[in-house]
Amino acid sequence: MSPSFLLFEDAVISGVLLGLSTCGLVVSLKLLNFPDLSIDGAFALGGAVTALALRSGAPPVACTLFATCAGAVSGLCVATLHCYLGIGKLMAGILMLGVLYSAALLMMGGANAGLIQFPSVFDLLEDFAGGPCGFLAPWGKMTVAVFPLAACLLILFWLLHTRLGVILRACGSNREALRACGIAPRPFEMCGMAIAGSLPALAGSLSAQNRGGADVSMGVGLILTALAAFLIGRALIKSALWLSRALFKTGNNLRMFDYYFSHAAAARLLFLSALTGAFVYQGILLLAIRWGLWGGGVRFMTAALIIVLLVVFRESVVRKEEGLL
Amino acid sequence: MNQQKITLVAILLVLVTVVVLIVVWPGGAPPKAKYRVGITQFVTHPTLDEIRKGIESYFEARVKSGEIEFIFRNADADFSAASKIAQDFAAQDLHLIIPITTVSAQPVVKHCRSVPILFSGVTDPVGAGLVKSLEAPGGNVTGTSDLWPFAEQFAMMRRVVPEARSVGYLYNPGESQAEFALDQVRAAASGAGFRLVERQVDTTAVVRKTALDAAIVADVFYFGMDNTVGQAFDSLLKVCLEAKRPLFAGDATSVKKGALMCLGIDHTELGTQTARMAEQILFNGKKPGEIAVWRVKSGGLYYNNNAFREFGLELPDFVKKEGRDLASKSAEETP
Repeated sequence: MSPSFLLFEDAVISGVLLGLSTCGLVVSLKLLNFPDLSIDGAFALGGAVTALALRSGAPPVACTLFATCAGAVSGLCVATLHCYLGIGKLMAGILMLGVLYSAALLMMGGANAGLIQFPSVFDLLEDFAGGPCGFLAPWGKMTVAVFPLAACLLILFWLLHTRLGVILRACGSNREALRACGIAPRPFEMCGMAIAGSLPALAGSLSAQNRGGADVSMGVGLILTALAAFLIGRALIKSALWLSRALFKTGNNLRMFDYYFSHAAAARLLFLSALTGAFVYQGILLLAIRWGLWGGGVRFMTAALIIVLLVVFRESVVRKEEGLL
Repeated sequence: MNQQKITLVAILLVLVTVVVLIVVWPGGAPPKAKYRVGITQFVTHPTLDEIRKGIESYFEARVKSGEIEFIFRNADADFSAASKIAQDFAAQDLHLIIPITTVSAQPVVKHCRSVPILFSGVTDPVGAGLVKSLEAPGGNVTGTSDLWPFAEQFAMMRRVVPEARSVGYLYNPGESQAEFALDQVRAAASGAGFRLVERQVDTTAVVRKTALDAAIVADVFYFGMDNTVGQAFDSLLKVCLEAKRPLFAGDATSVKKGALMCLGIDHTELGTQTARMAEQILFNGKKPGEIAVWRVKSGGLYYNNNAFREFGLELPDFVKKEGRDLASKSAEETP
């Protein structure tokens, strides 16, 4: 296959992976108001579990599920450190990063595990080539990648409307109200963090299968990338809302976007921002690599972009006492 | 309260006993050998271990007869420890010091001015300030360089893929050896008539994308000594397989993993050569400054038969005749 097509395919798959991770970030950071720094580690854990399971002979789909569950467990651990052992949120994430690093090393039996000769979920639709849907064959990998993303998004959207979803949103925004209703927030916070941890682990698992190898350092810098993606997406969605209000005089309320805790619709917008941002970020990355702009200065550019986006698209309702972003 | 104090005293006593035991234990070591050789290694790493084992196995008989004693120290990737080891060696009564890697060699050269020093596994001895020149090092320092035979490697690639025009090369500019390696690769590539398609990566995450981008213009790929790319070697290999771009390497490990072939350094051989030079210094009375720094010129030719098949290339006769097939080894090592 031509490298140009493979590059495009990789950008789409990377968009899906980053989208999943960013959704995890949104759940922890925005929904639960829990800045979880262990997202880098959860990503690498996903890769490590996949490597371990694939080498033990498990089918790829099962490996992906195992990795997702492992991520959920890591999320639970972070939440336990904070909720039941009283360790600060940032510290809990940092501690968990160390634990996950060692766990990944142990599982892979080294810093690096090659998975090229093993089957991957992306090969599932390869059989298309001979069948009546042969024209789909080149798109097989992208199709496979979209499945978990769509599933996760649907589950998250559905969840937001359930009682659990309402409590989760309240966990991050209004714990007093929860307590007043006689609901203990901590078990639900645990539950939310499990979701937040499973998403990057799922992405890590898919990434390892796409790249043909897992590595302990594969998640390094993911939190910055995910943050950048989320902020780009939020800026875009906010601008779109603003434009539609200006052009069509629709009554959407911009402030509602930041009052996410009171509207399931606003929380949905957050996830959509994460997704849009992830794909736009990967698009920018693709162009940067194509134009030869990639190199040592990229981290500075990412940081600069985040600063600009944070300043220009400031939250209209800033919780001053804990302005995390 | 009293109970707690007793427990505390007991724990302290145990600790003190352990410490005293640790300090006293080596006191019962055998008497000093005739020649005491200090070996210091920066970190435990397969290639560095191979160098050390090469040295030790060369002198195995002499160690058994008690003629030579090795004092081995590992800095465990700690820069300050490497410096402390050098100072410790300077204080000891040693006849020769063999530092392995640049980071270990620099403090040894700095602190041990009166002891013969024989470094090994140093890529750029002149650039690292260990010797003034490779041919006539002068002073008490010489050694073996593990600089790859880049020019020979690219000349060999030219023989395998005569029609290829450009070589893709990925590297991380943030790595300490990047600039040095890049200069070497550039010179070697142009010497063999290739256009070098250079691409920078900063993390393992972008290796796949960057390799795909390079594959648009590059006909073949060369993997050098870059650690970041090395961590994502499987990504690079997968891209090369998918886009049908033959992947050449500079080290045997990558060939085991699935690169086509390499003209690689045998690190055990590097150790053996170091040992030969040590023999000259210890037993033949040569001064280190008179011995030129040894450089690998023609390494062992390694190839991967499976890789040739997967890339759809025919195995050239000279490779089959001179080289060693590592394909079967990869099956043993990666379950």
